[in-house]
Amino acid sequence: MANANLPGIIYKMIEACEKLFTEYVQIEADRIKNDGNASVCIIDADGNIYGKMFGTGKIKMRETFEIAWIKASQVHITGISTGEFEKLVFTDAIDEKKYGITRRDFIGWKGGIPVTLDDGTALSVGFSGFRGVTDVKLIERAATIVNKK
Amino acid sequence: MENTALVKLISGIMEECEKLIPGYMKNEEDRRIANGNCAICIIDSAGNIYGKMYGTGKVRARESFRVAWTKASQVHLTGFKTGEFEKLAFNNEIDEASYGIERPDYIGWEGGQPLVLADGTILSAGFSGIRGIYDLEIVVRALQIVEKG
Repeated sequence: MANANLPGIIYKMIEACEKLFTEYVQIEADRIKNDGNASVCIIDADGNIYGKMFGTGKIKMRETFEIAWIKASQVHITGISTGEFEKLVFTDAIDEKKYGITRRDFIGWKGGIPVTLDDGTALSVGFSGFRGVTDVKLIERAATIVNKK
Repeated sequence: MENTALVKLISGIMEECEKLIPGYMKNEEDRRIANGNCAICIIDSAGNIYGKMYGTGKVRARESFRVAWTKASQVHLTGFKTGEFEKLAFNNEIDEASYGIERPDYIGWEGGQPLVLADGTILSAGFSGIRGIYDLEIVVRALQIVEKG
């Protein structure tokens, strides 16, 4: 791993996600998606996985982490945001075979994006629990918070 | 256990598992399952998730983590080893409805277990990529090595 401080930076990003979760969960259209439960999953280039489940409903939290993990791991393999990757595949803009993920395993939803830290470190991040656009926005805001520190 | 110490211990377990995997790969029965593309998942009581995918096959390691996560999260919800929980449920020895997991979602396989640390802290662990009995053993051995210092 190039950056020995990376785990600490990732934990700060998870903290930022938790703070933003408390903000977005106030929005009815987002809260009703999973009864106010959500999760984040972050994967680094070495295959280390970091995550956290937010909320109080253990079953819903489990479901959201599974989706967050699928999103993050699809980005880990493809390097392309979820939703965007599927668009590229279904318009024959990329050769999907080279990624090794079968179509039935595509997540399809937004909420998985590549994040680049200020030092150039690449992370694959997935968030699940809110509307797809909110999942993406939350990750982008958390990344901005961490990059400012 | 204080969070920083817990994170260090969990990182240690994951590092020791990585050192132990080559030993298991000497057995053809274990090697042919995932060819060393194994994964570990550990969940603490606060809902933090820690994991690692081993090996060079990203797609196979992704599948191993999916299973490891399912094992660990079933333990997180039930408190029982995977496989053992299913035995209790199908023999009507526990009230399975109280755990909230649907039968089609039971993992069934061994490899998920509660880990009790020296100070009493309980973690939920799942490992996947070798035979079930060794998915259990490798994590126990890794913990013993880390706790011995």
